[in-house]
Amino acid sequence: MRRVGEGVVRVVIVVTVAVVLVAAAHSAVRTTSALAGPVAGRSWSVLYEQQACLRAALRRSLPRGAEVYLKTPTVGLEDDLIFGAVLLTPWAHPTTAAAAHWTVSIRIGGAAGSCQGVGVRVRKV
Amino acid sequence: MTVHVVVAVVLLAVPAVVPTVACVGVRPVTLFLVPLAGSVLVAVAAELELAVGGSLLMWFVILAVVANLMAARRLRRGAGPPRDSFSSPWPWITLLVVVAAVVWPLHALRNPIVLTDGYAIWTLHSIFIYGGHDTFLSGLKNPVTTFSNPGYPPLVPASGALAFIGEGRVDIRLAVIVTGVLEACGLGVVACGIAEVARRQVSAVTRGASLVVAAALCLVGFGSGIAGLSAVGGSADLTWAAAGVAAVVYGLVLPRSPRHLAIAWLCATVASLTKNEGFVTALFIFLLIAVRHRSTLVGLVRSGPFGSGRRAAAVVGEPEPDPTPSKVVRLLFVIGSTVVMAAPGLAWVLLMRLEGIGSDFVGHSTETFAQRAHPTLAAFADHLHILPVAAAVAVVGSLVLRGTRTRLGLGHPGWLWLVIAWSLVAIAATYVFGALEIKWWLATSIVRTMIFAQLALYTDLAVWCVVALTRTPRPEETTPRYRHSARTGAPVPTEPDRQLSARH
Repeated sequence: MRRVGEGVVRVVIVVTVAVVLVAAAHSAVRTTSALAGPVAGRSWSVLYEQQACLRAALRRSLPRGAEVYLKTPTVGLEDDLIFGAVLLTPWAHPTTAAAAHWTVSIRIGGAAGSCQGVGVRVRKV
Repeated sequence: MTVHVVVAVVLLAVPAVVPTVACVGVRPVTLFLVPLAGSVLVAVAAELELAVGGSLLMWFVILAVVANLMAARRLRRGAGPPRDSFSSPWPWITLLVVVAAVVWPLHALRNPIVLTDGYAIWTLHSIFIYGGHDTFLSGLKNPVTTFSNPGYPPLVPASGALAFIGEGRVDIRLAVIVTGVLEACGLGVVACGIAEVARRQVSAVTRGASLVVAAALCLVGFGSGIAGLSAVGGSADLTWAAAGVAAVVYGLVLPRSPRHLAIAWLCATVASLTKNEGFVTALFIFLLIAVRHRSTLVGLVRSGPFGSGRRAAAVVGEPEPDPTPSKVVRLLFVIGSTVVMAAPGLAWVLLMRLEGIGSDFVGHSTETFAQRAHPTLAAFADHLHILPVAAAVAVVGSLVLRGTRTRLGLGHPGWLWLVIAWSLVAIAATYVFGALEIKWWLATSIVRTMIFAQLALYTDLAVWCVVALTRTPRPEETTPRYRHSARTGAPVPTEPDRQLSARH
């Protein structure tokens, strides 16, 4: 009787884990397939190329090792400041307003050297 | 890009091949441990770059030479763990299944997915490290880049910086891909651990089923239920989580042995050098490992790291002296072992304190305790749907299948749950007593901070599944298959089991 009970518990555990893992793995495979698919590829490529373009624009506009203050963006998110600092490094050094010789702002549209709707504006202090 | 990825992985892995083989032998898990061991070497090199000066490459070469000399000495003395010959098909099948399971999700890396954390923390720190000591130090201390959590440990950024060295320029996407490879290796170690649970089984069905479960766990680890976008977007969360769970599996679940101890130590070191919560969780894992493996550690201290493996097996059956004479000495030994094992992570924490470098989430908030605690608990509940299922299986399994688990030589199931509880408490305390606005903070991070707990819960389910599939003979039905050496804690096969091992 005890062995039968143990056998039932074994079956219940195996079935439970199998159902949970199959469901989770199925969801995971769908997610991974979507991330690897052409739709995700196009949208991420646009973002990646935009940032590469901005990085190149900053390098064209700033001398190497420049001390740069990133101005709060007039539009967009706080993330723009973060991306600004990341895009500057290691070509130039993001620093405080008092210590900077240059200011950089990231603007939506219109700016010279626009990268798919986003541009950088560089000014010497 | 493919060439640069291959160069980066080779640069990371090649210096770690001999040290890893010297510690754990040639087994399926070795393939996944080698890049992780390389990442530990390069992380320590980054610590030295920051603390002493010089470049990452210089310190990496020095450390690689030292590690290889030590490993060569160990191999020359023949004191390394016995090697699996790969003569049976199971190691090959394990290798193929696990490689396929961890490589398939990586095909998402062909798209240039880089998340905010990938840009703002990990690849930015890679750029700092790549720039040499002055750039590294000034970058971490720059008040403008406080958003990047400068106090985060260096393993992932240092691996990215080494990839930059291989390519000869900063390449954000390459660093993200290297992070993905490290994640895959961590999950590969976990999967090999699941397969090890059934290693002593004669039944091909059980061993095959354990491989299927292990492969499913790898897919789940990468997938939406756990990591999803962050797994392929350059975040380090899955890296530490997978390494942490691997440390739990080898250090606290699988039978005690010097080899499993070495794997657990390496994986917990990876976790401790990857993220702050990884460090806090790894400290606890080190402590529990030191408690569980104290006999093995005493054996290592007595016979030296170059002699324990064979000697441990040779002393079976001989009367062994009590390795730890008193409770105080035992306690001191456990604490000492924990500190020694956690040394690389502790060194980074010390370095950050000395340099006055912190993270932007540390501080005081204007919100009350209740205002922070309620959303935190709600967010935890939203992301731990698997918890009740895993708890039910663990309780029922512990009550009914305890004997099977003991006969397999597995550790008490409570060890894993202790680590999960500790990790959740540590993360909850960070949210509740941290500085950032709680709702924004939870919304942007809870998916990632729950990865470890979720992966550990799925792993526990996988282990119970293999235990449930295992039909071990009861003690009255057969002679014992192996016993633990009282000196080293190593499971040592008895004569019938040796014959069985020779056949399979």
